[in-house]
Amino acid sequence: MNNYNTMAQPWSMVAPTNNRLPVDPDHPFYYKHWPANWEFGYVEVKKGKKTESKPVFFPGVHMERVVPGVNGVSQIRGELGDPSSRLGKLQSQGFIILDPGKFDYLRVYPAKYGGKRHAPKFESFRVLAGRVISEFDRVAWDNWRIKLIADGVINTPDPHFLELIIMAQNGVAERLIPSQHLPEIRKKLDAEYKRIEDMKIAMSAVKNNALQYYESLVTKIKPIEDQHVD
Amino acid sequence: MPITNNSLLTDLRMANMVSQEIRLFLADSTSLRNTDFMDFVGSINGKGSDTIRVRQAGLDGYAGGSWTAFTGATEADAVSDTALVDAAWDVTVKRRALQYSISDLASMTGTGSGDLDPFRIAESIARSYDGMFASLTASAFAGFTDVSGVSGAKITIDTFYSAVQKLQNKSGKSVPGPYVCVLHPKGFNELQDSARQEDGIVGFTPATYETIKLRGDEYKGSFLGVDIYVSSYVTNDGTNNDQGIWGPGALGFATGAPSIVGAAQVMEMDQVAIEFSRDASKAVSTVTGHAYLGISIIDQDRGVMFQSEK
Repeated sequence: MNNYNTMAQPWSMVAPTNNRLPVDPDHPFYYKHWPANWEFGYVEVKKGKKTESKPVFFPGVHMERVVPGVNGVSQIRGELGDPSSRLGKLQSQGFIILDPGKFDYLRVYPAKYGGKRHAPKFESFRVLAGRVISEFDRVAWDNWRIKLIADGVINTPDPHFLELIIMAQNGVAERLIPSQHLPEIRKKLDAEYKRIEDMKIAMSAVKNNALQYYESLVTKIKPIEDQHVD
Repeated sequence: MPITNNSLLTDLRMANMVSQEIRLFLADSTSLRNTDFMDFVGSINGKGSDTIRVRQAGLDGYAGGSWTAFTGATEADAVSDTALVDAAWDVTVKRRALQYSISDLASMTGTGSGDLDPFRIAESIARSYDGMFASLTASAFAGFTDVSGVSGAKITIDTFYSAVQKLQNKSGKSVPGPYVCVLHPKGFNELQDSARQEDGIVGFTPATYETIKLRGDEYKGSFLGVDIYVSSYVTNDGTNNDQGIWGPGALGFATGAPSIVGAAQVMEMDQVAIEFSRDASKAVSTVTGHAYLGISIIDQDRGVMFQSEK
């Protein structure tokens, strides 16, 4: 006589968990840098037991998705594209392409319809009330970009481009001058002047010894591996 | 005792009755396909390739970096040859498809014209084309080399001015207008917030009923002479929305039209070829839409990627 008890499985009240992000799939991407694109900001560095903000120009590192049918990307299969033609064009124009295999910034999540969501390692996701909330670790991102310069992947900025940024910022301050009798505008104007001064400090550091400046920042910021990026 | 609606349920009255019209979910289906801001570069049909190479040459004075000028030689000086500057941009066409299946029973229980049936589905697929076009356009303009706006910050009048001025002065050359700007809905709200704090003479010209009819649902108005559209297809890099502002000649698209052989029925609906097929054993009709499209930057100098906080 057959013993069917051996085939029985325990009943579970727990519904099978869905280990997919409830977002639409998207395309892989790579980061690229154009030597004229720089962003101004601040980085927190250690000074003794305290920290202080240092003004710095970050390299503009921009994402480009590999979408078949877009910007000359041909199709390998399905939504997987071959970006070689596009990458070649960008490199010939002077772009620095950051290979995700070499710089380890790309993370892949299972997404809806059996597809994949491609996100930078600096972005994390939570699902709350059926909504996907993403958070971007800006500090880790900024520190990573500084490290790209200190490591020699991206060249230090040419002061010409930084001067253009400072000129544009001067325009913002000048627009506030006619209304500076209003206390709130005065505050804004002072903040703009401070920002312009800080930009000049960062540019002066670049002019004096750019690489040393970025290297010194790297040694004083929290090490990348200690930060929440994974 | 009066006859009430409640007492008639559910023998003589129904608890609910579906509406005659099927209303649409809020969606974004405006594309710039039929505007001056997207150049049609051709069809790949019969071309021998899925890629159209858009050629650029420094002719008629328009050289790569500067205007080709005559030089001031003396009457007997020998002049040297001027090198011809040239470039090329590839627009690669890819197949995209959308398919639905519907059973005969689902179709026959429809309440008349406009309800779900294979023909309404075919119409729906054809209308989805503009959404796809807008999505690919957004992916394309995120690749502009020049970047304006402040990363991680909201759009303000200042950043908008700066983006427009970048087009007006591209390394000493001005991009011929008119200009168009495609913003994420959040970015447009930020621009509006910043604009209403302004007290100068430059005003925002909001879209009117007539301009929306002419330019599409997502047209929002004009500011500094720039037509502003919003698009939910604008891509982001995790921290910034990658919006675009450009003039005619910056972006181009190519298409293809399939010659479908062997299908039970084929309908050409604008840019989409609709194919009907049927599984008789299951009493299911399948409607498949095929579209062949590629969008690309065809002149990097004529556009700017405009970033703002996601």
